[in-house]
Amino acid sequence: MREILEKCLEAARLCGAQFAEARFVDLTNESYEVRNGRPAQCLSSTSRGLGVRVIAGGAWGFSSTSRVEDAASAEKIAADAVKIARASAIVAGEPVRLAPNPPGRGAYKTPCEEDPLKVGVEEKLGMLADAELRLHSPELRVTQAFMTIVRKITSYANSEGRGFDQEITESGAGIAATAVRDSDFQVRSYPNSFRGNFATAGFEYVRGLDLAGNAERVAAEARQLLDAPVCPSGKRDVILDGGQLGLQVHESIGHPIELDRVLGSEADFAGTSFLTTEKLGNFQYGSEHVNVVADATEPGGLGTFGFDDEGTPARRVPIIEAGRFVGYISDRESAARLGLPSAGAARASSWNRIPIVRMTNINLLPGKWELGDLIADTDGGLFMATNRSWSIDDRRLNFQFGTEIAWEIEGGKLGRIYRNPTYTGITPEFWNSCDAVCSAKHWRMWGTPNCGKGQPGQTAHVGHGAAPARFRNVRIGVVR
Amino acid sequence: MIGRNEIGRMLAAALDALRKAGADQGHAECVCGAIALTRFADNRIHQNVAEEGARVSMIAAAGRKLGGAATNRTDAKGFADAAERAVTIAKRQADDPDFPGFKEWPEASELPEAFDAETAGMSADSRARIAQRAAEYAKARDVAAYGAVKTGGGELAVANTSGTFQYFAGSSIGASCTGMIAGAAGSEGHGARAISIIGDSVAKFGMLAVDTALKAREPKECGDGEWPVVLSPRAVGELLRFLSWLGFNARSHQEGRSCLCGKLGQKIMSDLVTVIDDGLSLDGQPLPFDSEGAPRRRLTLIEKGVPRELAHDSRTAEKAGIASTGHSYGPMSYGGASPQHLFMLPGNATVDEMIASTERGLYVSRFWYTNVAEPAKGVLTGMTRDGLFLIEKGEVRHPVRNMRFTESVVEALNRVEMVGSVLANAGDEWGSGVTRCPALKMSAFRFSGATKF
Repeated sequence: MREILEKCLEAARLCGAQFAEARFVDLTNESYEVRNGRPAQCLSSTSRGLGVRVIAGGAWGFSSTSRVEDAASAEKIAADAVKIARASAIVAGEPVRLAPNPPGRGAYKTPCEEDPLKVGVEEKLGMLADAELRLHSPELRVTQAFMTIVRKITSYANSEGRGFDQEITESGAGIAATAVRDSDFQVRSYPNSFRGNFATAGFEYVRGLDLAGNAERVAAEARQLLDAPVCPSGKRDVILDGGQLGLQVHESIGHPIELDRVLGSEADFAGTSFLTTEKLGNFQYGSEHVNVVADATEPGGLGTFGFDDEGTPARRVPIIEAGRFVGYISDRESAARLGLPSAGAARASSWNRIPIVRMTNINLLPGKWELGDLIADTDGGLFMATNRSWSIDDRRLNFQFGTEIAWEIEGGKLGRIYRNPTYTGITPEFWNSCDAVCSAKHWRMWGTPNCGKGQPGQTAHVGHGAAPARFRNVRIGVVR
Repeated sequence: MIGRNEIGRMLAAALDALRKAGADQGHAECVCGAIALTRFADNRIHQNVAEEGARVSMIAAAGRKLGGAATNRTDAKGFADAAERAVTIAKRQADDPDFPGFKEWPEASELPEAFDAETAGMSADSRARIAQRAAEYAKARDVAAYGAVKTGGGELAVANTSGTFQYFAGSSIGASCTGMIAGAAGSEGHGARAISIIGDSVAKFGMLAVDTALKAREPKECGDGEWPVVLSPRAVGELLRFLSWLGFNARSHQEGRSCLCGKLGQKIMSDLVTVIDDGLSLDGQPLPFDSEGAPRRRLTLIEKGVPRELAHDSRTAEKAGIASTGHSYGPMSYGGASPQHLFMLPGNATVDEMIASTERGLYVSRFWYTNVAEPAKGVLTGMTRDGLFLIEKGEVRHPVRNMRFTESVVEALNRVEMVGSVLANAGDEWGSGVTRCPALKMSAFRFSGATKF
């Protein structure tokens, strides 16, 4: 494949490209589901192809094909990419500039104790069937167990002498129970909603989730929610569990810090960001307890890799230090606009998509609290767990989340549960109301495999490290 | 274009590979084509891409056990590898007692008008010229224009070992623009199956977005609570897509998870509300059969405020004792089916008449990042963007800062007082489904939070 990549670069150069990069991607995806005691959606998919991105006439062009066998196809898409770039130059602004990325070659492979693609179908389905069976109980109309395995192999080369070979392996699984009565239904999930949790890891990650061991609790909580009162309205102190907090980080920190969004690249589609460039180093994003990094080197995260899709080596970038906003995530083009090095966050979902600024692992660093002590220190509050719904405006300021369940906290103790819990807020006000983050003992990586951005659409797999944290005086119970 | 005959040969080879790998029955679906998309930001093209490819999904049945595989390698080796994987999964599966078998479906309508070669083959230069018009109009008014022009052509074919073969070719063009100035924004989006249908709209989409942005400057704060509203077709489309998903999926009804459970046949919305689903209409983006190969049937979802029909696939239809309506996502889809080609019937009012009849209310250009807050009641939440305006004494007074809504879509549609006479395409930002709908006036709509931006 390396030879084909070089042919692409040479063809682009001969057509007049000032810069060219070629990327081959071979994707394998296995998806299994057991639903109501029966197999469902058991699929094995592969997709491979080649994409070439160039700068010609100071503007970008990209073309891609699934025909990777012959050099002629490769050379044709390189020529097409240059032609498209010249069309871009019809409506050109300043010529594209890229932050430097020194030449060099590298390789990376996800640490993987047990290759998930070599684990037999019977064992995978058996594991799911066992967990799903344990969910069965009265009033549970839909019971599900899921498993997802992904392998993404990338070979990359650019005209500046940068290249890499990379193999990313992801594993994930989860269970969900839907209890139905009259005109209401309630869902409980483990370890997270929307098909579970995911990691860059081998099958050992799936084994470690112990789906079967959590099934009875999940089923019982789904049933109990049918009898629970609706979440009250008002303002309360709220403790969010790690899974919900991971999505809170995703929507109200991860997206606003995308520098391409800040510069307007997504204005017509995914939106912009309130985090305009004059705020860099000068904005109190959160309280002193809020420390956030973008860390593609964190083991196990869905945003963990060796190289981003421009060949920039994985980095750990400070984003928020003691509440102060100190860094964006960026690619080579957006970073150059601010005179900064790339944050190594250029990611493409597959061979037929260009790299754009995407989250890596956006991690809220752990604090010092034990979860039990934090609950004991809270009165008249709620402990909210597992995301059910999310929405945020196009500048990433006004959010509203729903969770599957909430426990009342009275006198420092968890009490009764509430159904349909919701909370809402404004991003900086919310993060400045954070007065406690739990310790590394409670901190874990949460995988988000469905982050949408870009046109044509791209779905990114990103990670969020989080431990439960407390927020003061939050508006709850928006849906009554 | 690969063409009907060549795709037929390809799918026959895929089914043959499934048989050789040990499948009793087989199903194969091919999606192929080329799309190109030109994006512009701050009055310059910043992304410009093209792709071509084909993808074949194969399902093997071994008795009542099913396994699936997909590949974009469409040669003999690619099919053999995929067939082997599908059969391996199937043979290690448990029986699926609800598997209705791969059926021989009647031939679907051909709809040759759905493919327009000029649209499918539009050059990067032509797309750039469309973007250029928007950018130059914006620049002349000190507005920054952001947007995209997308063109493409594709083919879809489904075949199975029971004798079904369906083929469809279609083209599409979509253009959108957001104009921004001093923190204010306006946006427009248009889409159709052929450039000839929306030629004039494409020329004007940037102008409308820029003009709205200019009007949206210096918004004032406005309190939350219940407001009479006039919703643009784009905002109406957002609500209808969620309702179609939450309310009209037969699987959700059978599992007790639909917000319309027990409400079919009851008048629960305004009698001004009639919504159909029509995958054959050339006014939208037609697709005459589903991923099982079943021909799509036109559905009356809501008739004068009464929910009527549900979208079925083979599995839900068999359980209900009726024929599939042709809305399946595939033989291995267990989440059910949902309408994807929504049309709300027009009324006889103009937007100006809706505004003139409003003593005090809000005009909503667009809803954004809508999501389900409480599915059992059809409660949605989302934000306004790109132009929210106060209406007083029958006139648009001034722009208003964006607001969050939290509202039951079913209850909101029961408060419809006027329906626009003009239908507009109102596709969502994530590209799912096709919706054509009018502007609506509602007597009340619940905004749960005001903002300072």
